[in-house]
Amino acid sequence: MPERSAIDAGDLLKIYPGEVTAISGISLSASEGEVVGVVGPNGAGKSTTLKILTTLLRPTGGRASVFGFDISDTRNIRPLLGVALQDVGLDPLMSGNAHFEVQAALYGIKPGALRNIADPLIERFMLGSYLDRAVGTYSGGTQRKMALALALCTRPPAIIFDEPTVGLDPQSRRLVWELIEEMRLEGKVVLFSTQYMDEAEKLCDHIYVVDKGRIVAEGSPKELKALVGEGTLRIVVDAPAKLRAVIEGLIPDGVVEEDGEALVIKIPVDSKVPATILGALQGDVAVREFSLTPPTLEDTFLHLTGHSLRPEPLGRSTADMGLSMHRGGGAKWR
Amino acid sequence: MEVAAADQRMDAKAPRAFLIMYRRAIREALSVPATTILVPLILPIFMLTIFGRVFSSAAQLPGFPPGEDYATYIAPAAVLVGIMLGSATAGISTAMELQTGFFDRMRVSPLGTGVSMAGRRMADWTRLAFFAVVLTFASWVDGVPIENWPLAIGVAVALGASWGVVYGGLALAASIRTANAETVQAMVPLFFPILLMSTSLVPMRLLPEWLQTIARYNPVSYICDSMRSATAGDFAAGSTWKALVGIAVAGILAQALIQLASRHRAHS
Repeated sequence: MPERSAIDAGDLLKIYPGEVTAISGISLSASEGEVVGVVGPNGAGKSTTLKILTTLLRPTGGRASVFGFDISDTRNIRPLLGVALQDVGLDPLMSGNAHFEVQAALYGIKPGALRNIADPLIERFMLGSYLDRAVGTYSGGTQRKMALALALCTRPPAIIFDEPTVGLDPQSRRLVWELIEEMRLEGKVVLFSTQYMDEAEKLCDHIYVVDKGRIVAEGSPKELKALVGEGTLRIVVDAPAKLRAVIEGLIPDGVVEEDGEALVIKIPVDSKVPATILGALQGDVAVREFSLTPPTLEDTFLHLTGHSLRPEPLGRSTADMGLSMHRGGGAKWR
Repeated sequence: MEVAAADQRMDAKAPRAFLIMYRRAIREALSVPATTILVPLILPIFMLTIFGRVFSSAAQLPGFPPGEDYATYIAPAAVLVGIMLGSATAGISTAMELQTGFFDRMRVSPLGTGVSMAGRRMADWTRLAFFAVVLTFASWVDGVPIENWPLAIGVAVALGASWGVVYGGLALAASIRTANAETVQAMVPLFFPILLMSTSLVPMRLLPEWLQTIARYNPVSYICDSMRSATAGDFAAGSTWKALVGIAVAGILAQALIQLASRHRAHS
């Protein structure tokens, strides 16, 4: 386990002009060799938190440090950070090559030395054929890849990414995941925000769940999922009435939902109920589908905040959404 | 160990970054020559050719230098109009950088935005110096006698372009404060009252008394006086000195506004 916090924040408060409180009491830390995620819906305060930690925004209250330097010590902190914000931060009139030249100048690195680091990134992100063109002509995904390559090409010991995979195709998204894994292995500290729970679950050693400007939970993905404690049991049989009767007999206060032909019920993950149900049905009823899905981080978020990470589609209730997320395993909402 | 390596890498590279940012700003201006070069030159050329003739009899009024025609009198004002019209480019470009997030890319870097802004302002100075040369030449074509070309060009470039960069600082401060290019463009016509409240269009004696007080503190009065003398072949040390002080004071005020706007941005 990492021994010290490279990025450390305590009780961060940010009140924007107009008395709009963006975050209140945010405390987090990230150590070398650790990947830390900040997850939450739009407007939760993720970007504000990361902007404070990148020195772009001054907090109204609280404290923060990077590698022991107070967040106000921008001179010492900025060389240590690789930053990719939600806005890709590219000049649409400048070529990709010119961006690398400017990045090298801003970080005091010789262009040749920078390209030695950047070339493998350019190759991996497949940016080579774009570099002579004005960035304004790139697709959104290519611009995002360019921004990530620029953030990494200075070889910073700490990485702060704000929603790095938004707008990327699945292949590029996977590549970003690989790079984050590599940075973990290199002992770098990676702090990133995301709305994608699968991404957070796959990559993060530690996750902070943020909602309405506050941290509502934190822990490893496993610890967070344990907060829910309930999985989703989904059964399709030839005789649903009999199944319903069996379930209601076993769990009198359980809520049985219908999802097409399937009956769906939440049960504790370590429950013996599934085996009992199967035993009760055996011989009488043909079971066409029987699955127990463990809780996901998305379930955790719903459990903690009472609402989903992504906007609710028109005409659906929050309860419907919870059910639908299991149906589609989350993919439906992307 | 990584931290130490990153520290060592950060030896000062500001001059190289400045040159890169300067070249970038020049390339940017040249990519839209109609907006950055041609349009600002239209009004001053119109002033020289039309105003000079329409108001030619004004030069007969007491207070005007004897024997000098009105076109010759307002030639420095025309040069300054072109310069002030073209001075908002750094502000507009910075507003665009704020909108695209490129400004924040620079803010999170070790060198910050200072080098970029310095590069942009130097690029503006270069372009405005070019305006000063072109408009001095245009005034000669229009019939304004130039007795000492090196002196006329030197004073027009040194005072005119420097004043343009200082005046453009207001647009830069507004762009950092608002991140809005339209707001910056809306400030451009401010040049008009600044000229009217100086001796650029009529001599001090013809201004109302209250306006004379303002004109005495307006650097534009001294810049125009110096340029007018230089065109006639004289170096007016008194006016030039006052012009330089005025430009310096205005520059300090503009820089203070830029700092205030930058501080505001860090808090919002």
